[in-house]
Amino acid sequence: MLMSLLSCMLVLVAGVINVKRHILFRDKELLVKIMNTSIAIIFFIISSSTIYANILWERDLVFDVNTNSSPHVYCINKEANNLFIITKTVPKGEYFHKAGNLVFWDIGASGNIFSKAKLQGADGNEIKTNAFAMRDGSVMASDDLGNLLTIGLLEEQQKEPSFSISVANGIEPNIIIIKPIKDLKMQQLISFLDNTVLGVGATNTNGFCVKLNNHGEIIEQALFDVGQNEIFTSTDWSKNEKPNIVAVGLSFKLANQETEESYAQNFIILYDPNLNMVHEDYFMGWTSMSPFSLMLKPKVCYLEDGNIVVVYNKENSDLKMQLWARCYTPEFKILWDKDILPVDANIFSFDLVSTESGGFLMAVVKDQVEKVEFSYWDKECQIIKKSYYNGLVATHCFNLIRMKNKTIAIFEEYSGRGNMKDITIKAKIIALK
Amino acid sequence: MIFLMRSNICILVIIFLTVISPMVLGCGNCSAYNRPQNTCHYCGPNCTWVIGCPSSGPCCKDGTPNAHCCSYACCDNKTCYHDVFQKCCDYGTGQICPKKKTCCGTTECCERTCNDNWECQKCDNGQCEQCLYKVGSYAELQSCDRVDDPDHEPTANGCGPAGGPQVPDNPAGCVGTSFLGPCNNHDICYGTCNSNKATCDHDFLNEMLDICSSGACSVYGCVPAAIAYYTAVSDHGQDAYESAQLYACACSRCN
Repeated sequence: MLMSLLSCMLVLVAGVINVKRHILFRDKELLVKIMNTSIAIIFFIISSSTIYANILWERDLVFDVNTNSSPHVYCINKEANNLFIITKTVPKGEYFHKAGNLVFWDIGASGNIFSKAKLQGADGNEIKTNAFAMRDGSVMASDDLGNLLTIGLLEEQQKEPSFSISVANGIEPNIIIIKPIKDLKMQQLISFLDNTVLGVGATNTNGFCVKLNNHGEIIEQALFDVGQNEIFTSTDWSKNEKPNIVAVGLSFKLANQETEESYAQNFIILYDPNLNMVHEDYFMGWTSMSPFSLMLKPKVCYLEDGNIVVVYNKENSDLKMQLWARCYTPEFKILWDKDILPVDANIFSFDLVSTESGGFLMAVVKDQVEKVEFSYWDKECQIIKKSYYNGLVATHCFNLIRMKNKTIAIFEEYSGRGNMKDITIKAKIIALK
Repeated sequence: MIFLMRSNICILVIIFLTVISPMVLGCGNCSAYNRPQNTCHYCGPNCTWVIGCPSSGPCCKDGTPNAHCCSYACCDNKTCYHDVFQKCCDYGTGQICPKKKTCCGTTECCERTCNDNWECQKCDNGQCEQCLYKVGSYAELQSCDRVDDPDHEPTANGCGPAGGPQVPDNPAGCVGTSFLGPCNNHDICYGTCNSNKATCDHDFLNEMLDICSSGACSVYGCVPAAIAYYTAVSDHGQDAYESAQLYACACSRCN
C-alpha cells in the first residue's frame, strides 16, 4: 500500500513537471495526452492497490514438513489476544479423513507463536482422530481459567460421533474427557464471562442450544422444533455481560418417495441469556436443493451498534447461488435487505464477521479460483472496499474470527492443482486489518 | 348262438369302455365330455366327473389359493395339501393351520401367540418365538427391538435422494472420480436395518475422498464436491435414513 502511494506521488510529480514544461512550450495537444496518460496510470495504481488484502501477518501452521495439516478447531480467549487452534496432521499424500495427530497452537495477536505441541491423552499417548477437519461438530472454547474446552471426536478409530467435553490447560494441553453429550452434533461453543459455555448444535432433526457450566453439566437448554428438520448454521452473541444469542439456520424438507418437492427456508431466532426465545423470523424459502446449494448456509453476526446482519442464499436454483444480506434491529425490525453477491454458478462458501468500524467483512471462496475475495461493508450495507488473497484455498473450511482490532482468517491452502499425492496441504492463518 | 356271441362281445366292449378304458387312458379322456378343467371336479372312476375335492394332487386353478381345493389348501399355487402340518402354505392367514395355530414363516403351523397385526417369524417345537410387526413411524421403530424385514432387500439409486432432485454422479468431472459407487453403497447402508447413520455418512465421505486421492482429478476440484455431498447427507439426510430404516426393519418380539 505504501509503495502504491509512493508510486502515485511520483506519477503526480512527473505529471506536474510535464504540465509545466508543456505549458511553457504551449503544446496543448501533447499536454492533453500526457495528462490523460498520467490520470490513467494513477487510476491503475489506485485500482491495483485494492486487489491485495490488507494482510498484517500470515502463518503456516505446519508442525512437520513431511505432513499435511488442516485446521481442526479454534477459538479466541476472553481477552481476544490469543488464538488457540488445534490442527490435524496426516502424512503427505493423504487427506484428513485418515487418522492423524492433533497439534495445539497458541498464537498471539501479533502472529507470534507462543507454543505448539502434539496433543497427548491422559495416558501420555498422542491423540489421534479420524474426524474430518472442521467437521463433525468439533468445537472449542476457552474459559476464564485459561482452560480449553473442546467437544468432538478425539478417540482414534471412533467413527460414531460421541461428543465429550475435554479440558486442556494452556500451554501443555492435557485432554480429559469429563462429560459425554450423546446425540448432539455441536457446531459452535461460546464461552461467556459468567464462566458458562454455550453449545449450539443439533440433534438428528432439530436445532439445539445448551448452556453448560465448566464441568460440562447442562444448566439450560432449548430445542428448536417446528415440525420440520432444522439445523443451526451460525451463531453470534451480543457484547454485554449476559448476552443475547442469535442463531440462524435452515428449516428444510428433502424430496423422497412420498414428498415430491424439496424445499428449505432460512430462519433466525433471538434467545435471551436464559435461552428463552424472544423473536423468530422465517424468510426466503427455496426449492430444488442440490448438495452445493446446501453448502451455502446462512451466517449471522452482531454489529457494533447491536443490530444483526444475516447473509443468506436467495437463488431458487440447483446450480446458481445469489447472496443477500439483511439487517435486523434488536427488536427484529428489518432495516434493509440487499443483494450483495450476484448469481454465480461456482461452488463456493463464505463467512462473515463484524468489523471494528461498525460494519461487517465477508469472505467468499470459490472453487477452482485462485483467490479469496474480502468485501468490507458499512452498517448500511454500502460497499467500502474489496480486497483479495491469492492462493488455492479450500472452500469447505474457511472461517473468520475477530481478534481485537483485526480479523483472523483460518483456512486450508493447497500448494498446487495436482493430485493429492503430489501437493502439500497446509493449515494457514492470516490477520487482516 | 351267433346272437349270444354278439351279446358277449358287446358286454365286453361295454366293460372295456366303462371300466378298463378309464384305467388305461386316465382322466385325459374326460375332456371329451367337455367338462371344465379348473373346477372342483375331478375325473373319477369310469371316466365320470366327480364333484368334490382332491386331498392331494394338482390344484384346480393356479393363483387362487384354496379356491378349488375346497377345505384343503392350495399350497404354493401348485398342490392341494391335506396334512397341514406337512407344510404351512398359506402365509399369514392361518387358513390351513388348525384353529389357534398360525402359519409361521411359511413352513410350519405354530401356536397362535402373536397379536393380530404381528406375524410369526420363528417357531420352536410349535411355540412362536419371534413375532414381527411393520411399524409406521421411525419413533415406533426406535422404541422396539429392530430386526431385518425378511421381505426387504436394500436398493440403490445412485447419487441423490429417491424421487428427489437429480444429483450428478461425477461432479468433479474427471476420469475416475465418479461417486456412483460410494452413493450406491451409502443407499444400501441406509437401507440396511440397524445401520448407524453417522457411520454410513463417514464411510461415504471416506470412499469419495479415496476416489479423489486416486482419480485423475486435482484435489482442488474433487475434494469440495466430496465434502458438499457429505454435508448434504450428514446435515440433511435424516429423513432419508429414517425412511430407509422403516423399509428395512420390522419390530420383533415374542408374546
